Amino acid sequence: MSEYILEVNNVSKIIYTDKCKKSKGVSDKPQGTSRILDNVSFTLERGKITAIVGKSGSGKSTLLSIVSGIDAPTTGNVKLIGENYYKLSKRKKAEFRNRNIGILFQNYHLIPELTCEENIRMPLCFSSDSNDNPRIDEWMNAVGLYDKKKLFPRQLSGGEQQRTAILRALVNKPQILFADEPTGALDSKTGRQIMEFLVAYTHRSNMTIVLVTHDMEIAGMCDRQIELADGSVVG
Amino acid sequence: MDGKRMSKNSVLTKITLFLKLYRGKKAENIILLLLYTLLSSAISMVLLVQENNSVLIADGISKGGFSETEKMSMLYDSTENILGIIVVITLFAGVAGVMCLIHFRNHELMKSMVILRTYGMNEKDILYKALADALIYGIISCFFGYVIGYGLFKGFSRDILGAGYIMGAVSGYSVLIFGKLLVFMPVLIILCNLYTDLAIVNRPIVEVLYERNAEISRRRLNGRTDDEGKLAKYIIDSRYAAIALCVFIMLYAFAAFHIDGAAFKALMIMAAFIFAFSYILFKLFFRLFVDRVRNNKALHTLRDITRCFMCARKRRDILLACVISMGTVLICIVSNIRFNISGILRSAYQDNMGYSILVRCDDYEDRVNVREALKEMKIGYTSAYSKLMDYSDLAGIEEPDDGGKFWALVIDEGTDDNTHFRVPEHGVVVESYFAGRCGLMEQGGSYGDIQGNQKYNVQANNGQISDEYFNSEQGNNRQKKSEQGQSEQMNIEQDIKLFGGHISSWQLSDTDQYLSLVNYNVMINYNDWKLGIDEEWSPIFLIDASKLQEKMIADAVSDYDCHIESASGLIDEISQLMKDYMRIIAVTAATLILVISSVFYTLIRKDLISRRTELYMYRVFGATGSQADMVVFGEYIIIALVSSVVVTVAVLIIGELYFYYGLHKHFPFSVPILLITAGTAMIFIFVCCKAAGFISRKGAGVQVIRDE
Repeated sequence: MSEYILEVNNVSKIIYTDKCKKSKGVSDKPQGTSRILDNVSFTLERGKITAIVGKSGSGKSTLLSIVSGIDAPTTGNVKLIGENYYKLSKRKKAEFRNRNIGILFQNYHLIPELTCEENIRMPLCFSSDSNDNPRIDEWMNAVGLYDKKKLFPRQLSGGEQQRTAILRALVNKPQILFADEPTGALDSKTGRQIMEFLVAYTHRSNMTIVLVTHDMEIAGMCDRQIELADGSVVG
Repeated sequence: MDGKRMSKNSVLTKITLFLKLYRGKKAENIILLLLYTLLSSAISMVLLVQENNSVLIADGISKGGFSETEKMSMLYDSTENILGIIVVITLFAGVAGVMCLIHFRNHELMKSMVILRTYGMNEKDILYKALADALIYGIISCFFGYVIGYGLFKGFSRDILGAGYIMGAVSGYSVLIFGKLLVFMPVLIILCNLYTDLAIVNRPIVEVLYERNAEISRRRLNGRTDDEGKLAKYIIDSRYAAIALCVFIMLYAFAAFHIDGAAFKALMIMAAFIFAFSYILFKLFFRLFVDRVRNNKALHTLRDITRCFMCARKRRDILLACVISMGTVLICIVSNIRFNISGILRSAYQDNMGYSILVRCDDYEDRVNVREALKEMKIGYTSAYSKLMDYSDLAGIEEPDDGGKFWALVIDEGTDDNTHFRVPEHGVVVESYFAGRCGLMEQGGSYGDIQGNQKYNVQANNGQISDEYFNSEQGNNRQKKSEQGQSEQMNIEQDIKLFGGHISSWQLSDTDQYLSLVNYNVMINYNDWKLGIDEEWSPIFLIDASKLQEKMIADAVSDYDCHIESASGLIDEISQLMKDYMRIIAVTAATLILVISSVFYTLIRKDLISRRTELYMYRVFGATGSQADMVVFGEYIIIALVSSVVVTVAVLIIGELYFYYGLHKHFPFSVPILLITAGTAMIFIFVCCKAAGFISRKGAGVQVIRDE
């Protein structure tokens, strides 16, 4: 097994503007295109927390989308846990995501039709290994959600929603967790609590976390920082 | 073993999860269940009516013989054909409506589905979701729909047929009919779900979660990653489901309902024409027009904003246009039958038969007086003689085993140049039944075949003319379409004697005579055959006259010993039968109108809710509530207007072709009724818009504009 849990090699992302829609194929000319990421390369070690930082529009979220497998790069490749993710078949990708990846969104993206507990258990439904995680109640208790497990997302506070989203991301015991501004919608105190929980869990379980933030205090709690500017790694 | 159990549990858990997604969609699911039930009840009712009629006619044949039942079976056959066609259109429109609602219900779950996908859901799971939907909603609706359908069938049968209205054998068929229903509904629900969900599940995740145009950027990746192929696949997958649905409905309709093959084929051609017509209009004209106006015209009024939104939601607009088109087609046909059946039948009778009044003189000598009276009124006629003859009178033909008599009609002179009564020199036109009995030819299937499938073979007897003869070049050259238009005739050389005369060429006709007042079996040219007309023959005058002239003729011949038979009586009889059937058809049509109303109401309401912020913005910047609503309503009304007008014109043109070439008959639609139908469709949409707008405003809660 590779010593790196994530290897990003020469990843570029080009977005085509509307003016370019009518042309066929990839235009050689840069007109009508916008290069969001430009030959980004880095590697991440297992069990570490890495923050991707940068100004608005620097490409942080796009990079996270690409490394977490929800958006394809225009060029370059991404190796996740030794697998060239974008070469996998559709079915394998789904299975890989379910087994190895946890994703946290800034706006939580909880499923409004499911209760707090059902949201947390949801990834287990698509797991081929096991249909249960006996520690769910314990975890919910630990983060203060046990009493609210029958409530729907709209009945929860922002912090509770994010904690639900975290437990949902962790329920399949992923090897790597991707978080897009996990504390962006929370106040600083709740944000810090969320981060402390994640750091503690990472150290206990040897999980890797990649998070995007523009909050330097949050970035300071991480083991490593990758700084992006205009789509390129600058630090 | 454990693995299998685990897998089963996993599937069940997934199904439970999918069903939980519907928690927030109770209203939509109730409406959908109602629609499924209405559709099921309409299908089961029609299936039961048709099955009962078949059993009724078969029973009549076994008891009363073929000739007694022939007329009834022909009439039922025609009405069932119309009922079958209407139910097929209802199916298409109902399915389009159901598809619309499923599409919008599932579309609202798009974000949830994408999150599920992020956590490992794949395409196979979509099938589980569709199966869960089908198993629960499909089976419940089948059960309730069948119960309602059976109740309606019993009620209508009691009213129309009276005592002994339900044949015992139908009870045996009930299980089979329920089975047919049980096949249709779940498959329909699965395919409708797949159509929407396949498109949703394969949509790029970032596009949904981050609202970024990932699709376009991926399309540029042609050849660089494997996602391009998969993107193309998602588009095709979704279309596959739609195509599969159309094919399934067509096959099901053909297999389950009693529809004449030619009528069904013509219906499909008509549907294809309407589809092509609408497609061309929307694609080439409408969209280009809207794009052009949008590009060249600045925004000045709220109407300009509506124009900007036109055709922006392609899938929705296509579905809407389909629902409106199908609904309009159905209403066009139903309203023509309901309000103009006598007019249609009379025109059809005159066009297809060539006459509408038959004057039969009981006294041979009165023929001169009647002729004079008609000449005085300047009414053209075709003169003939009729006689009930024994089969034994036929020379050269082996007498049928059961003997019997037949009606012969001898044409005297064709004074009104009516092409319907032209018989070629040395020719004879015989009814297929007669020809079959006399061994001149044989019908495909038994004579009791109530479907009326008449396929002619020349029986191998004296002339020994085989099928191969017809297929040969020589045979084909000898087959020709008759001048009479409606009769497909065959010119066959045969060494045979009829009425003592030698026939070198004779004609066989498959003209449907069940509507005829004459019911002749042999029609021959008097001058050629010299049969010796005497007092035993009844003089007959065949007159093509209007309803007004009918009364004049009746008055003119009232002094003589004559009987008048007019098409009016027969038309009234058919019209009455149609009106009885209309109640069944009306229930089917009402089902459809309910489906369409629900679809539109739900759709417009949802649109108003989802665009509430946009509407508030218009109001913030000075529009009144109704003006803001009209921006949204305008889209629906324009789509409705274009669809209904296009479809009405298409029905008018293609309907003519359909009846003429599909049914070999002519049933002209009433233009005013069609125009009123098109207008009604638009008003209907407008009312739906207003109702949805009213309810939406009522339930809007806190208003942004507080001084209102």
